[in-house]
Amino acid sequence: MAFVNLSLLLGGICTAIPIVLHLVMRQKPKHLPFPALQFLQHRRETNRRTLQLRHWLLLALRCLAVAVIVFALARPSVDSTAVAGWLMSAGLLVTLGLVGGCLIFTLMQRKGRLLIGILAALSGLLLIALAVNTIGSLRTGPRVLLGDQQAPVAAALVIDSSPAMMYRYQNQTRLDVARETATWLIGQFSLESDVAVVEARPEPALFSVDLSAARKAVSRLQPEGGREPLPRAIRKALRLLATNDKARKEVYVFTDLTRSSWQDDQSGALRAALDDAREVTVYVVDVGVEAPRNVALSGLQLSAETLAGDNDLIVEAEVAAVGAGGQSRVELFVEEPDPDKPIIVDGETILPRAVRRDRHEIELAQDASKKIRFRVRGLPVGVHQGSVRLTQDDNLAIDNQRYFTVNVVESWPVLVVAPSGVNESLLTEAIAPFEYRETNRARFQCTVISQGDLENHILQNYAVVALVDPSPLTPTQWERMARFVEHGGGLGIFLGHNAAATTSFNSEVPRRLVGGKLARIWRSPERDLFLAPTRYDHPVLAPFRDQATSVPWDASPVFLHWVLDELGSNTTRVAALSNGKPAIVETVHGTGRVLTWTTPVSDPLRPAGRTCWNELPTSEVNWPYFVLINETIRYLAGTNDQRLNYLVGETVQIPNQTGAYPDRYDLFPPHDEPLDVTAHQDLLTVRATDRAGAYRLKGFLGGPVARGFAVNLAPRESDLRRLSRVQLDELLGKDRYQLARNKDEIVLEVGQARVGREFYPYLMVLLVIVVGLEHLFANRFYRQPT
Amino acid sequence: MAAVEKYLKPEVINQIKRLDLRAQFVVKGFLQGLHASPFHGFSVEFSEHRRYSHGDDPKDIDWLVYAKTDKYYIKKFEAETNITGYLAMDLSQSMGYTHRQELTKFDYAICLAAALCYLMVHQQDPVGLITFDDRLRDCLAPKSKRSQLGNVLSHLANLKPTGQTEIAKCLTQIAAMLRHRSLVMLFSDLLGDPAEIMRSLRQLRHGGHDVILFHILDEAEVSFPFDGLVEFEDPETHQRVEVDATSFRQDYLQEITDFRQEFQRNCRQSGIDYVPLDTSMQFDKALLEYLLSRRARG
Repeated sequence: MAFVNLSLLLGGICTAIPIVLHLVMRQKPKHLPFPALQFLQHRRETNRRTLQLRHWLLLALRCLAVAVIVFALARPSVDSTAVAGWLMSAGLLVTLGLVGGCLIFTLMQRKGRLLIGILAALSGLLLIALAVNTIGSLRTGPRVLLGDQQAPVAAALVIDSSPAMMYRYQNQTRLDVARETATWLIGQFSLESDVAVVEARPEPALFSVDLSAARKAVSRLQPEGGREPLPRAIRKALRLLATNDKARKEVYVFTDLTRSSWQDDQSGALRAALDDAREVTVYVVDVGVEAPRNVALSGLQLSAETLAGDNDLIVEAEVAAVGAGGQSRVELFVEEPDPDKPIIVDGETILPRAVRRDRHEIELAQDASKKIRFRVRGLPVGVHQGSVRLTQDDNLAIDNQRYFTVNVVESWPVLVVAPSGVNESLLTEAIAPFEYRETNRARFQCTVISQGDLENHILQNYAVVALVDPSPLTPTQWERMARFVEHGGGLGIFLGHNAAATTSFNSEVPRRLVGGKLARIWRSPERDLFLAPTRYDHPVLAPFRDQATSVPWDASPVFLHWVLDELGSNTTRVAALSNGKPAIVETVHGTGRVLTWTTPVSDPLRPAGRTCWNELPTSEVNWPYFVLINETIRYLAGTNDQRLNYLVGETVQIPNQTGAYPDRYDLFPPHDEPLDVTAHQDLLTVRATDRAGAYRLKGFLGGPVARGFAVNLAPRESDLRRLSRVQLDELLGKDRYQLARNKDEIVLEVGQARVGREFYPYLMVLLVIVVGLEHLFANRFYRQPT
Repeated sequence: MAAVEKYLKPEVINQIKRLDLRAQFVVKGFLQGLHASPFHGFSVEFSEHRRYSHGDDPKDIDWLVYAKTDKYYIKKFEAETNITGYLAMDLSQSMGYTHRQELTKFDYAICLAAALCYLMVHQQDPVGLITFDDRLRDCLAPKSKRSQLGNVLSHLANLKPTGQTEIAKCLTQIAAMLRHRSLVMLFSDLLGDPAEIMRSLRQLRHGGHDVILFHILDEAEVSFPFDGLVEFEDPETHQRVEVDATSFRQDYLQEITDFRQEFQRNCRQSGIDYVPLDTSMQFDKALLEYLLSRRARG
């Protein structure tokens, strides 16, 4: 509890005035002769006690009236969170007074003992409850400095600048409202106040030089996708306020209360930080709309970011409606390749022409979502920028368009090396089926040679070299393989019956490539051995993740496999067999990688003169094999490395091999001036991905080179569902913050938090009651004879 | 007639200082107010004739005498039986109390006693006077002569209520003192021990005496018109009691009512006529009570 005019409490001495008056100016009784005194004697004692009671009651009321006046003038106030406790104490006090009064009356009237006992017990209980509640309220104590509302403050304005804040309502975006309210609020602070505008950015927060600088910082706020969650920004604000020595510290969070803005994996940390900074008052200013209506493109998925051959691009877009439904039109645009564009003409950026390639009309129910598939055919080799758009405008325009970038390349050349007598067709048909080869849709272009012809081929012309059931290679061949891998090539070694645990495989170089020592052949003729991956985090196994428990691995038994011992330090297990032995291991060598299978991938069902090693390619349910071998070759070819579609705020890294690509590019970000970016260590890094859109890289290496990538908002940014009060309580702590929706509520909440909840009105009501009672009793007790 | 009846009001009587006139006015006012003779129906016999004077009832004119003498004479009657009456006056100091400073209980009692004396003497009933406070003070032997009225009135006029109260003891003494069957008219505020007073009254009644008990209280003692904090003092004992009169009124009225009702019940059981009076009441009530009692004994 705090007092605005603490010194006025000295006026409490005035409560002695009624007592003094009572003693000094005690009413003198009229003296009258009266013979019939005997009729007064009987009830005299009762009357005397009644008189005393009245005297005490009146004295108490008068003292109470003076005390209430003094208390009210001192303007007591408590922290608004503790009001309930104090009101409870007041209620208990009044009840105790009533029950106590009844007890005294009962005692004086010498009523039944049972009644006296009950009243005494009730009074005792009330007294205990009052003491406990009051102590509890006192312990709660004012968290913050209460008192003068105009005292300088240290304030941190945390303003939510998420894309959802661009929701337009009553011709104002939420960010506009937040900016306006924040600017108004800054004007309310005294000039000595320290104000910081905290943005949800990784940069540390700082106090503005003065209030006008704070206003400018507010006006500069722009919506950002790749920002920190609000809880983190609030923690940052709390850390900043901890460095300030002002007595009053306040955090204002301007937010639309959308869940996406408040999602944080460390929400407990915010509660802890708020508990630590109890002297800081937190105000949440809700600038959101209670029932938002929006249709959004909430997600976009590409069949592949790098397309090989003449494959179709499948674009899957998800359209979601929040608070609205109806018919929507979704269109897909792809830019026509033009190496000369973008180009700046008269200060204006001329972009390649976007051509609409597909269109869908959909009917959406309220609060429902729907997925749409677009198929784009005939994309020529090169980087293509495209977008999916909702044609209708709505309140939130920022999520009506999503961007994608796809790189179309020629088929990856794969050199399949097989000793004589080994049928490699099971492999080549799996990764480049005949039908695909004929229609130029095969992702891999296989060149099959015998192991003996290895010297006649330049390995660097191939993306992948696959050693199918290799027989012992010469040290020179191993050396060539090692150099190939070291320079970024992908090597697949599929061990089979031709391998031998001899020096050809177990010498230093082959061991380094294979990943371990070939120890022995494991035999399991009972069809009880099969591939049994336990983890699916490796890219090779990624397609199985969604159905990990239902993949029929046991339908393709393994009868024989090589046991690899002494795995190298740079070798990791990719998949194991059901006996726990490695089935696939990956070895990183230089900039390339080697995947070694300990059992072959091309063994026929009934090989002549020997036992079949496995039924992976030949079993009736062999689709896991097809997926696995394709992913193995894709992984070795490095097609997964080149990520072209990013989320806002992510750092973009694009491989940029020296010689194959230019070192310097002009980066054309969406709606902004071009930037100059330079590749380092064969890697092009771009961090300025604050806005969603198509980012175009334009370089020159013997001719114009056009590359690029796309940046999109995270799908959750379109989620306009709001936090409930309960969820907000969980995040910030119940009664740990004040929620305001407009300026008036801010004034009210801030006033209550700064000055506390004043008891002045309640005390005035109490004073009226006390004075009224005093008047009533005094008139009744001392009625003058008419 | 109305001019005479006003003398039944204590406040009017209070303005008349002479006691004999007071008695005369009270009785005349009382008799004028009655439509029938209060003596009608009494067992009386002719005693003498007297000349008719203005104001006499024409029906009392003896027409035979008129026929003989050609003059109006009216017949005078004499009670067949004589009742010896005693006016017993309480001289205790409490009887001198008046709240409105007009007519004290004692004044009221004297006025009433004088009126009764007047009535009785005019009926040739012997009437005597006994005064007492804590003991018997004076005793005038009962006589029926007209001069007795003057004696009694002059004695009453000189009485002062100054003594302590011992009603019960005095009543016992009166009971012992009276030898013939008499009508004792007691004028008192009965502020004493009610049980003892009743015992003494019963003794008196047991002696064959008729008793009319005029219980006279001050108007303030009946209505308790006080408010606020008041310290009351008993004029006899000087004992003081401080009470909040406003809140005490109900209690007091209950007490006084109980007190009177207790006396009334006990008196009825003992064959005593109990007449509760206060100084604001007209005298006719008391006189009527006497006459009813007189008739019952006639």
